[in-house]
Amino acid sequence: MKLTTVKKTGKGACEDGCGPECPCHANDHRLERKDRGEILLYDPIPTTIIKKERLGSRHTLLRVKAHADYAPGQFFQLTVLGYGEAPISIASASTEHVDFVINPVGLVTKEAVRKNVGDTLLLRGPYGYGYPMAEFVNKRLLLVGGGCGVAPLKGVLDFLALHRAEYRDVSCYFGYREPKESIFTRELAAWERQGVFSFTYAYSQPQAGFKGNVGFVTAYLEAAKPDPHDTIALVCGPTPMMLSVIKTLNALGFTDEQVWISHERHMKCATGMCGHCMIEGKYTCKDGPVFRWDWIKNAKG
Amino acid sequence: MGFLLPRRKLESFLRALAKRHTLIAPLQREGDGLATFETVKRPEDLARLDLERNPPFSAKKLFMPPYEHLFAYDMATQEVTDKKVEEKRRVVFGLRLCDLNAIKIQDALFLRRDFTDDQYRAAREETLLVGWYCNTPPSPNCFCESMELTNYYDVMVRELPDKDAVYLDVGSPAGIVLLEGLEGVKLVEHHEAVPRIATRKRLNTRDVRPVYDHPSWKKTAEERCLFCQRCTIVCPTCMCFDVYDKTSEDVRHGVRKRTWDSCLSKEFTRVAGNHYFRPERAARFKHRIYHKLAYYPEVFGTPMCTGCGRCISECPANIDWVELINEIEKERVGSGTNATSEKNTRNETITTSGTNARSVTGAERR
Ligand code: SF4
Ligand code: SF4
Ligand code: FES
Repeated sequence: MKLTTVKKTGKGACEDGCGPECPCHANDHRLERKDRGEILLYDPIPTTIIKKERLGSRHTLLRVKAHADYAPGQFFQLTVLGYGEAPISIASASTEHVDFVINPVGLVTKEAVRKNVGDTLLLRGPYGYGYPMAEFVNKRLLLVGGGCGVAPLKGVLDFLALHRAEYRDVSCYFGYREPKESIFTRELAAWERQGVFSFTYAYSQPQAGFKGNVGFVTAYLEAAKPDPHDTIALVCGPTPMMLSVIKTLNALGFTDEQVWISHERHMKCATGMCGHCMIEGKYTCKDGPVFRWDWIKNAKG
Repeated sequence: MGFLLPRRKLESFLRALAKRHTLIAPLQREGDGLATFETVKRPEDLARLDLERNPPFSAKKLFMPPYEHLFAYDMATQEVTDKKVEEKRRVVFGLRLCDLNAIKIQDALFLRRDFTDDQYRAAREETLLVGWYCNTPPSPNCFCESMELTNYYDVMVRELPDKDAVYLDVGSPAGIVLLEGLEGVKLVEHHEAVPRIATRKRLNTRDVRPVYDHPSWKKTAEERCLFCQRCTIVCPTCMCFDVYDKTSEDVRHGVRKRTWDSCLSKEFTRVAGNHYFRPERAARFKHRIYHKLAYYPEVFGTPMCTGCGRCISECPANIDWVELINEIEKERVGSGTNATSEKNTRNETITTSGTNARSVTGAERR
């Protein structure tokens, strides 16, 4: 995994003379684009599932073997033939495989979690512009995730683990409704033990008698008072959660330019053509799904 | 550069084109006489040629059909087969300048540097565009004067009544090739301008961002619009699409298709878990217009509306959004001020703010 150098501008277009990291070369990075003959824009590529694991009470991890060239924050379009396509964020950082954390709430995802190791999973991507990790070098990072939103942040953590020396402290605040919904507990605990990253968890609706942190992550952020100086916050989760986290961060002295959020939208093409994912004139699929908060905060619908 | 042709020779010119190429032209269909873009199969079909009005259904179906096959699949083996990209070599005649610009707008979106839509490219690349110039606007709802139309065609056919001739303006190298050696057609080199025309209806401002919260939007959307989506279907620039799988009754084989979609529908923004991102009627109604006048121009530099007026002519609720904006604008500017000086100052402010950086009245440009 290399550090990408592309500067995210909030716009998709670019000038002549750009490099392969530029948004306008997005299609060059497509899964197996180079090794296969005629691949059309909307063709899903077959990959093989090499690992399947239950993650907490709600999620399923599917790992596919794929020599993909992706960045943290990007996503793939997952196809189940006969059911359709759904955008799924990436929960890993590797050139050998891709991890998906699937929450079976829709037609496609419900069908996808029925697949087993050895089965074919059809994908196209990666799409979207991920976090500009190169811009965050030598900064402190604050990762705030809620529920499913932890999955893409796990991709960021995997990436950071590969480039640990280039970044300063990484503190994570992850919130769930109940402890049993937590995902990647083993991996995160190992990092915690080795002192690679630090973690704080909060549970909003735990069972009676639970002894850990009860409440929303915002309360624990407020208590910990992370220093906003030279810090970038990556926030990912349901919209109301992200909004309250941003409010808390603003109160702690974070500017909107220091906060990155991640949007979910209905997506059909993932290439900025079908119009479904538009937020004002921005396309969640190609200009996002991660946005610097000041780029998108005033957008209407 | 261009050529002159006697007016009475126009039909033999089209016959010659039809002989050599697949020619598509606005023909009145048998039965109800509705003009649609249709293939000229026999020379006699040209008797049904309709150049009086612009067909209510635009030519966008030629480049993205309402239902399009992307590929076939087998659910049991998870195999994808029968991918369809058909190169369509043909000549489309009778496109008005607005519709030619609509194709320009779609080209900018589908033939981008980062991603190119293969199906659209195949349908578009080998198709030559021959325009039919409007000496007078064919519909009272035309307002192309307010839009930034450019000469985007291979050949434009313009009637010159005073010369009893038609002028064929060549817009591209392919256009020259198209006109070369047509059987029985003698062309005389000539030069004539292809100017913009004046329209009765005008859109007085495209700078709609400041009036997003004006109550008239909500009133029209909630009290009048039926959300029938007809306006998005007839619009030559509305290009949103949906992709879906259609499985046959053997529950094994199927086809992934794409179809036109409309941002006016509530379903348009639905995600798994039944969350809607644009549920309010007013927000949906505005999104269509704001995409055309504000969002698209901010990325691509030109508005995503060509002023063809179809959405107004075809609306069953008689909604005229151009009038709606003009009224909001009139209210905003206030009465009692000199209209022209108002317009000029407004243009300047628009230019400096960087959005819609061009003049609102199009007549003096190009
Ligand atoms: S055609 Fe008229 S009524 Fe139908 S959706 Fe468009 S504006 Fe509304
Ligand atoms: S919005 Fe209306 S006037 Fe503009 S291009 Fe579409 S149909 Fe024509
Ligand atoms: S998903 Fe089609 S435009 Fe973004």
